[in-house]
Amino acid sequence: MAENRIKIRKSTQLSKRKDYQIETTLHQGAVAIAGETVFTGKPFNPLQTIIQEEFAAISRWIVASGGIVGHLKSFLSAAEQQVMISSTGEQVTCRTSPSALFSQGKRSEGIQISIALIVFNIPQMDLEERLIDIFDRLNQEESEESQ
Amino acid sequence: MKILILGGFLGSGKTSVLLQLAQYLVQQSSGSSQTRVAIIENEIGQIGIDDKVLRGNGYEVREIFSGCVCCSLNSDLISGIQEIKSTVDPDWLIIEATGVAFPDKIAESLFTNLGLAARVVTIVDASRWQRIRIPLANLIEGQLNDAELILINKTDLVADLELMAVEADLRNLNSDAVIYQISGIKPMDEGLLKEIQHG
Repeated sequence: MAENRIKIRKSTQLSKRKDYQIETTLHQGAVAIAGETVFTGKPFNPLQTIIQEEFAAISRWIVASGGIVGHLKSFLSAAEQQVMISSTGEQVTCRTSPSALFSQGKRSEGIQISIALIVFNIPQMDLEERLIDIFDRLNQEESEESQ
Repeated sequence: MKILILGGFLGSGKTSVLLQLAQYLVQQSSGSSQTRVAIIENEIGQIGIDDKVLRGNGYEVREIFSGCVCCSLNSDLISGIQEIKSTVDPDWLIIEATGVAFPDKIAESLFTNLGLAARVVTIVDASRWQRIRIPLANLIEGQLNDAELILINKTDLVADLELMAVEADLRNLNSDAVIYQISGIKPMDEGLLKEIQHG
């Protein structure tokens, strides 16, 4: 029974890895997991807040699990603004700037979100689940039209 | 083509230093003789973040993802540099290594494979030095090898005594390097930027 549950969980995880283009690289003892997606119709600031909250929570979880935070980083880019969110453990910092697309007169559809988690001494699958959880939470954020 | 390798542990501030340095190099020139700067961005993950930040600041970036150019992706780096040299032939090539790379190995490979000399600048996060010093000793000590300059970053986040201990530790690990202190909350000193530029 337990084995079946694990299989289902892995199947779901594989499907979501594909949805969010999640890829993992292992190097020098580090697990680097990254994913990206585009959300349309969602407001920018709440998505940024979710990532900030999740980075803070993941940092706490990594330390409590005996791991070492390498670098948690995300880049959100929309038509008029972009922000780099970064954490190396204790603080989550954000650097906002005008979108390069906007200054170049180009259009961007939706909000492009890239997230990378680079961590030591944490199992790969556990970290992948945390990244999927972030994307799921972002996905569940209400769209601008429904607000 | 002058080559600079920016190394240092994950989150130490390599991209921030790169942005300031690239801006300085371009601003130093003027008119028809504008300095051309090419950037190679190496990231350990398959999806880049830092390249987006650099592009967001108006730079063209050649990215090499999903591994380190100091080992598994070394051939990608060599071919990338050859392509940049033959197409753009910039005055400066800045290579931002991954946070788990050994910059001296990159420099060694450039010299062995292309006959090109490179300067290594390693950035150290003062606020995390004590925490990662022991568990990741092999990596962070190795990142200091052959560094001509060591920039101790995030100095605003540590007390003076801790900063002195970090600097003493770094001097023990690389007695030949020139060590500077920098902070993310203020721009890098012009004297330091000149030191990086001219050596």
